Parts: sequence; structure tokens; C-alpha cells
Amino acid sequence: MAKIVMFLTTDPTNVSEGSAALIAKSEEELQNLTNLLEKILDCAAHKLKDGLYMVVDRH
Amino acid sequence: MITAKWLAGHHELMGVTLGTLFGFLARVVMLRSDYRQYPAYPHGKIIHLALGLIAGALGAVAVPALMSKDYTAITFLSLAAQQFREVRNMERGTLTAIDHQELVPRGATYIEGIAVVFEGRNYLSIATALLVSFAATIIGWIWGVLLGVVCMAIVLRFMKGKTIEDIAIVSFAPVEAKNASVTVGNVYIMNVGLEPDLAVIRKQAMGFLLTPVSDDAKVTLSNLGLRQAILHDLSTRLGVYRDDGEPALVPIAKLDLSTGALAVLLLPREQDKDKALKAMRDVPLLESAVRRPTKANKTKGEPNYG
Repeated sequence: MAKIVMFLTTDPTNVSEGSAALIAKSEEELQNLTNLLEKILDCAAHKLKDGLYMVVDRH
Repeated sequence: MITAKWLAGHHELMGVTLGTLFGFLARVVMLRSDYRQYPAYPHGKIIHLALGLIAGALGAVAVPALMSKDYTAITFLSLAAQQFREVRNMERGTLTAIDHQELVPRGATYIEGIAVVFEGRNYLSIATALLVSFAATIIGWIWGVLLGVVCMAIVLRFMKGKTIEDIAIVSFAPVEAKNASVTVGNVYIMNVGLEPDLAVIRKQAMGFLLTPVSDDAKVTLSNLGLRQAILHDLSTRLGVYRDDGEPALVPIAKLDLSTGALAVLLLPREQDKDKALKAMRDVPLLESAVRRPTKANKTKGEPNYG
């Protein structure tokens, strides 16, 4: 089963307190961060809805 | 000097020589290196040719030994069986070890299939040697040679297994990659979050739809090992547009649950459609993936519908 590594969002209300999440200031920054984290962590980035991404580990 | 007369007086020697020769030759014709590139290297080949020679010799000497009432010689063959099981373990071990380094792995089912073939071919080689040696010793060397040629033809026939073409109709299906979703035809494949990855998929991806031709084929196609073998084979023959650390760019196959059809998403380097179609049709059908539920569920006395 895939493990959730972290969330990335532009809207802090999307994620609950205590979950690993990065809050981006704009949609562009969000895309950049997600792209970087995908490469750094070797994990797949999935889009749940506009402004909310999830990075999961399938190894 | 070796003359026809001398040969006629040495049945057993002729039997053993011809048996060993044909047993070895059978292994040589069965040792193919194709697009799978295995065994491709001189040393890999030498191992199998040497074992083929041993298999031939073991099969060939069994006949004269039995004729001289040395019945314990049959234990020789069990020794050979033990030896060839080792071959299977060796192949399995090697392939499993290098499978982690493949961009698109073969998968355990494919590896098991290859290992079984290596073992099986040695037994075919023994059987050829045994039959040829028998004919040459009992009847005459000409019959030994004739039987050897027939055995070769049978052995070559054994090599031709079934392929995907026998169980499914292969067609192309459009790949769509938008709104973070990738679909092949009507089948949802995966969620890809990033736009650059979606752009690569739109540009490089090729979609196939494998429609099963029967109920048995439906079950066979759903086997995960067979699916992995399809992905590996096509990636080997067409190249693959992916790298380590690119988890979004991965060839993948998903079932259309309502129809049983298999949708395949590939990222080939070679974009030639004809080559891709041929590559897909030629994928070997793995022995351990084949299921025949229609046969298993048939009760005695029921009419046979096919």
C-alpha cells in the first residue's frame, strides 16, 4: 500500500493540524514545490483538487 | 581405420556417440538469444552448452548400460534430474538478482517461466540422446541419425509457445492525460499530479486495448505476472521513456472490469505503430498465467461446447 509522505496546498484549511504539509503562497509556487519534492523524495505527486497535492511513496 | 565394417561391429560406441551428438545438437538449436538478450554473453552460453553436452552424454550412455544388464545405471538419470533442477535455481537466482536493476522489471512469473524452460530443455536434450542412442544401438546407426533428425523437428516444435495473439485481439486506444487523470480508451489508469509529467505522457504515450477472445482468456489476461511480462517485453523491444526517480512515468496495465479487456499504457521510444503492434502480439503467454476455468467447471456428462 502507498504511504502518504506529505500534503502541499495553497489553502491551510485543506489540511488538518499535525499532518505533514507545506503551505504555498501561490498556485505557481505550489507546482514548483510539488515538482521538486517528487524528484527529491522519488515519490509520486497526485492532484486531489485544485490547490491540493499529495505526495505518496510506493516503494 | 574407421570403416563401415568397423562401425557395424561397434554398435554401442556408435549409439553413445550419435546419442551424445544429437542430444548436444538439440540443446544448441534450443539455445536462442533473441530480443530478450538472455543468455546473450559468451559465458552464459558456454554454461548451457556444457550442460547440454552432459545431458546428451547421460542420455546416450544409459542404453548400453541397460543392455549389459547394469540396471543401476538408471540412477544416472536421477542424478541428471537433480543437476538440472539446479540449473533452474541458478537461472531463477540470476534473473531475480538483476531484476531490481531493470527500469521495467520482468516480474516473478516471467522469471519462473524462463527458469522452467531452461530446465525443460535439458530434459528434451536427454530424451533426444536416449532415443537416438537406443535406435543406433538396437537397429543401426542410420536409424539413429533418422530418429535424431525427427527429434530435432519435434524439439523445434516444442519451442513455439503461444503468444498474446492467441488469447486477445490487440488494438490501439487513445491516451488522454488531462485534469490529473490518465485514461486509455475508457479505462482509468492513474492520477498524475504534475503538468510536466502529463505533457510527457501526452507526447510519448501509446495506448493498447487487449480484448480477450474467450472467458478463459479473460482470466488469463487478468494475471498480474502476465501483465508485468507484457510491460517488460514491450519496453525491451520498443525502448522506454523513463528513468529512476520519475515515478509518474511508468508503463502500467489496468483491467476494464466490466468487459475484462486489458488497457496498457506504454511510454515507448520507438513510435512506429506497426512495430508496436507486432511486439504486443508476440509477447509470450506465460505457462503459469494460463487458466482454463471453463474446463475446470465442466462436470462429467455435460455436453462439450468447445
